[in-house]
Amino acid sequence: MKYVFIVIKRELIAYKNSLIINSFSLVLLPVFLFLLLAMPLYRLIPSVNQLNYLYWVTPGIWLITASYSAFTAGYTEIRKIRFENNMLDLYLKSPVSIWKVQSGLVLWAFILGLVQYFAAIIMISTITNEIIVLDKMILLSLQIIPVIFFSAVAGNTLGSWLKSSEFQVIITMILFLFFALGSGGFIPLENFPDSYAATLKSIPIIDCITRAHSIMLHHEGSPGAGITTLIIGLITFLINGALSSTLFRKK
Amino acid sequence: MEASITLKSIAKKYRNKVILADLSFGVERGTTFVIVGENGAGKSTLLKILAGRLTRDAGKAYIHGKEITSRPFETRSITGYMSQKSDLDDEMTVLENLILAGQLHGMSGKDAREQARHWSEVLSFSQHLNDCPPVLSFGHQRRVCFARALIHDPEVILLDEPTTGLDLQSRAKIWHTLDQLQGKKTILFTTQNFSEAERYSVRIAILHDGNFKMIGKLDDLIETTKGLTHYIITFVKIPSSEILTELEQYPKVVRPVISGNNLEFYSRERRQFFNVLRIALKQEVDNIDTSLCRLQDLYKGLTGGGLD
Repeated sequence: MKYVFIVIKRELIAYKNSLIINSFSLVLLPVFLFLLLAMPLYRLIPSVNQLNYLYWVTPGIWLITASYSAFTAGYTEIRKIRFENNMLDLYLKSPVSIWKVQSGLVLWAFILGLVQYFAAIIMISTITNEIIVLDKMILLSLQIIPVIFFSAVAGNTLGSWLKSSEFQVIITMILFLFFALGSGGFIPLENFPDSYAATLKSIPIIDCITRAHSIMLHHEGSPGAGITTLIIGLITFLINGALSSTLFRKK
Repeated sequence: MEASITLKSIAKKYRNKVILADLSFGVERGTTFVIVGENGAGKSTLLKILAGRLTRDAGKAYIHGKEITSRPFETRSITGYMSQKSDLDDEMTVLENLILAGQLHGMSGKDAREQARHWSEVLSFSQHLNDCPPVLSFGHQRRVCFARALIHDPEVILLDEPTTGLDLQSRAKIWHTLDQLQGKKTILFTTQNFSEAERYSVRIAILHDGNFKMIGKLDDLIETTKGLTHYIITFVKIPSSEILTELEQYPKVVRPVISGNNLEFYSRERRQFFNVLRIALKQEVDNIDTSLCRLQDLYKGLTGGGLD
C-alpha cells in the first residue's frame, strides 16, 4: 500500500496547486445543477409520485456531480501522466508495479468523487433546507458510492488508452448529458418511451440511479444494483490493469 | 571483476523496424562504459530496456546478476536512470520531484529530503528547490534530472546523453560529479560527443543501426586502425572536385572527401600523403593538418563504409 499512497500523495500535491479552482468546482457544480437544471424542471414536473420534485431529484444531483468528478479525475490524471508530462516514465522505471500506480490513480479519483459527493450533500441541503435522515443516507450511499467507484475506474480506463484531450471533452459531455437527462437522474424514466426505460433499467448503473430515487419515495432499496456496479467496476479495473501492465512498457 | 550489467542477444523491433538487433555485452562493476552512436542508432532504447521503461522482444538482461524481467523491482531499485529529455513533473516543485523519486525507490520522506538537499548543493541548484521546473533554465532542469537519478544512491547509473545541449557550467558540474562516482558505481552513458566518450569511459561501444560495430577499450579500438593517419589539407578557395577524380589512381588514399575548403583523407603510408599533396598544390593551399586516428575517425570509418 505504501506505493499506492505515494501515487496519491503526488496527485494531492498537484491538486493543492489548483486548490481555489478545484474548490470552486466542488461548490459550484451541485449549485449550478440545482439552479440551472433542477429548478426549471421543477416547473415542468412539480412532483414525482406525489413527492416534491426538488426532494426527489436530490440524489440525482449528488450522484451526477460525484460521478462526474470521479470520472474526470480518473480520466485526466492517467491521460496526463501517460501522454502529456511523462510522469508515467518515472513510475515505470521505479520499483513500483503498474497495478499500484493504477490503484493509486483510481483511489485518488474515487476519493475526489466522495469529496464531491459530501460537498453536494452539504450544498443541496443548505439550499433546500432539507435534512435527509441518517438511515436514508446510508441506503442512498449504498447505491451512489458504487457508481462513484465505477466512474473513477471508467475514467481511468479510457484515459489509459485515449490520448486526445478533445475526445475527453466530447465523451465527458456526452456521458454527463446522458446521465443527467437521459437516464432518470433529473427526469423520471416514466417520461421516456417504455422500451427505452425498460432497457435502461437493465443496466446496473442506471438501476442504481432509479433505486436512489425510489429510496427517496419509499425509504427502502436493496443494494443489489450497487453490488453489481461495484463488481463491474472491479472487473473493468482488473482488465485495464492487466492490459496496462502488458502494454505500457511496449513503446 | 564481477559483472554489473550483462546483455545477451537483446533485440527490439518497433513497427517492423529493427531498433536493436541481437546485442550482447557486459559491463564490469565500478567501471564506466559508453555507447556512442548517431540519432536513431538505438542508444536510448537500450538504456530504456535496462531501466525497465521498455520491454524487449528477445534476449536476456541482467543487473548485478538479476534478470531484469523476472526480478524487476530488485534491479530497478539499484538503478538510477536519466532520460535524454527533461521529464520532470511540472506540477510539483523541484524538491517535491526529488522526494517523490526517492520515495518511489523505497526511501523514507526524511531521507529523500536530506538527499535532495545534498544533491542540490553538489549540483548548485539549491536556490531552485522550491521552484517548479518550467521556470528553470534547461541546464538547471538537466541537473535536477541528474540529481533525481542519483537520489537513492543507485549501484548502476544509466545516463542517456546527459550533457547534450548543456552550457559549459552544467556540463562541468555533471562530469565533475561523475568523476567522484567513478570506481564506486557502474556508469553506463550514451553520447554523441566523442571527446567526452574518450575522456570518461573505460570501455566504448559503437552502436549503429541497432548493431554494435565495435566494443572495447579506447586504446584497443584505436589500435585496430594500425597507425591510420587523418590528413586535412585546407585550400584558400573551395577545391575543385576534379581533385577527387585524380586521387582515384591512389587506392591507398582512404575516403577522400571535400568538405568546405578542406580535403580530408586517411592513409597509413606517408608516401601517399605526398602523392596527394602533389595534386593539391595545383591549387592554392592554405594549411595542412595531420593527426592519428581518434574515436571520431574510427566511428566515421565503421559507420560509413570502413577505413580500408
